Amino acid sequence: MKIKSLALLFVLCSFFIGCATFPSNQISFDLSNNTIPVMLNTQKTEVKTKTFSLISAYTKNVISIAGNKNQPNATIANDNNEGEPLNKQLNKLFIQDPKWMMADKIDLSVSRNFIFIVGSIDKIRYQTALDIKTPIGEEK
Amino acid sequence: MIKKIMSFVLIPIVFLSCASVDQRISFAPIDTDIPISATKQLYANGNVVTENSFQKSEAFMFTKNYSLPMKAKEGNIDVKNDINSLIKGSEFNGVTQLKFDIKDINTSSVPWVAIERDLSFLCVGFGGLALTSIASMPRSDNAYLILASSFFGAGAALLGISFIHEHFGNVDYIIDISGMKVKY
Repeated sequence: MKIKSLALLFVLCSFFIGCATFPSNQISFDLSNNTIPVMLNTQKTEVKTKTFSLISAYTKNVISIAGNKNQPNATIANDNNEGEPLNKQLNKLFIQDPKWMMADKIDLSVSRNFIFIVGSIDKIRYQTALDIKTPIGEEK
Repeated sequence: MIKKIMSFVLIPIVFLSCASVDQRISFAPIDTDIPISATKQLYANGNVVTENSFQKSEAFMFTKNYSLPMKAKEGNIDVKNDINSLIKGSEFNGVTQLKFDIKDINTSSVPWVAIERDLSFLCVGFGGLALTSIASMPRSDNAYLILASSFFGAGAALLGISFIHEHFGNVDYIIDISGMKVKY
């Protein structure tokens, strides 16, 4: 393998490090169009509650392979949205709307694994997880 | 013999040329005295207060820059104080449409750590092999000795940089937080 190929791979990796587009819409927390109050502070209630978990994620995998004199460097990239944005998932959750809901947990998770040898493998995952607590019974 | 030495060099390169980050940050619940809602309505004192019932409302937005060390597993973004300072001394007594708009998460330290480690092992490996070969020669040229030592030194320096990067590097989060201050 030529030094030139390795150098080019290094440049390619640097390009992907710096130029990754960010999936703001997929992982942001925006429920402003929802019709039921979703409270973010703790609600004290006597009635029974049920918790629903919603997840919206984005994954991106980039594989770069260093070439040789017969074959140029190659890059394969794919990205994928897992689940709809949280507001759309929440709108589809209930047949009969509850009076109120509470966001019991909003977590943003980030994981990235990168391997660089004669090529590189870059796996990125961003995830927003929402636990919604809602009253069941009399308050509905 | 050379194959054995190369495998001693290549095996650490394969195993040590990977880097990763895995962390989680929490936003809620936000424990404030005033009701905070993510939608246009509020639930306060057992009643739903709709948008039309608000006496006054005003939009707000601020950007939160948050950094968490690469090695950290969990973090917490506390917006309680920011919201309290927005409301304090004003006539507003609630917040609606609170949004967390994730603008960017910078994890670029991760690939740099792997690349630095990989290059460092290559330099240390080749420098070390060259030094061993030169040392075993009856008459060696000083220029080659300096070149081999430079490779070895550069590799050791890169290994140090990757260690610093991994242990002191951060994952940076940029989050726009917006909403409406309301009086109900």
